[in-house]
Amino acid sequence: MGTFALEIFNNEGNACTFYTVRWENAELSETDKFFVKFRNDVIHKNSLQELAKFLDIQIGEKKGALKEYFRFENAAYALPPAGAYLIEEISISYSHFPLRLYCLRISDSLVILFNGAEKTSNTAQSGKTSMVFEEANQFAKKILAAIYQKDIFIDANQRIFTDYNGNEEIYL
Amino acid sequence: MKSKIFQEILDETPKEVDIFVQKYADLVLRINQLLDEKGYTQKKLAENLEKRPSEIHKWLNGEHNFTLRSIAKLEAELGETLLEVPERKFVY
Repeated sequence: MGTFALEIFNNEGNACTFYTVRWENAELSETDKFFVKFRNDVIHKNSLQELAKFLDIQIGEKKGALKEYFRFENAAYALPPAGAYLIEEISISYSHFPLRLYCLRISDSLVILFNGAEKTSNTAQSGKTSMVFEEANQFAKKILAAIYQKDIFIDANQRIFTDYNGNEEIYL
Repeated sequence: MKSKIFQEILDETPKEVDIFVQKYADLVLRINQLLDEKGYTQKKLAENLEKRPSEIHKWLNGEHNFTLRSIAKLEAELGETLLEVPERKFVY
């Protein structure tokens, strides 16, 4: 797996900070790629806007990353001592929401967003989500390993990642 | 700091979408939290409301839009307010 940056996607909310990942030398983060992919898609534009508002207001500003807002997926990585983490989907619970955005929820106030896709099958591992889901797992595995090995740290408020020198510019 | 693309999409989003997302997310969260607090299972809720468990599952997992009647049934069963409509304020 190549090198990627772990960088802030949105830290303006009172309740939750969102990070994202960006391949070294890539112009866009993986989450920006997701939003660009559907921004002008006639079928999915409205759903994308709903998801954006859900992230920004409901999770970021008002409630935080409550577990009720996430849908667990099958792939799990259990790294001691922090316990088990799962790749999750941001879940808007209403009629057949067509998009899936993958993430790693560290706490109610800290979430790492990856890429996503249109849901075309019953499982994340198949259909149009399969590639981005697999990639999300690889990103998550490397991030969790870095936390476990103390290459990166989470501040006491659970809002900021830093490296061992306290720098917020992080490459993994 | 916020992603420029993300901010642009937020800025393009109609107000009605913003309102719908917040109200729906608040409603689903409140229902699920009340069910947890009161120890309801989906099966028990279905029995009490004389509904099929599959229908309750759809309510709680978003595969079926709420109607005012379904919200009223839930309010009656749970004994809690789910939606409140503000009264008009008169200024004298």
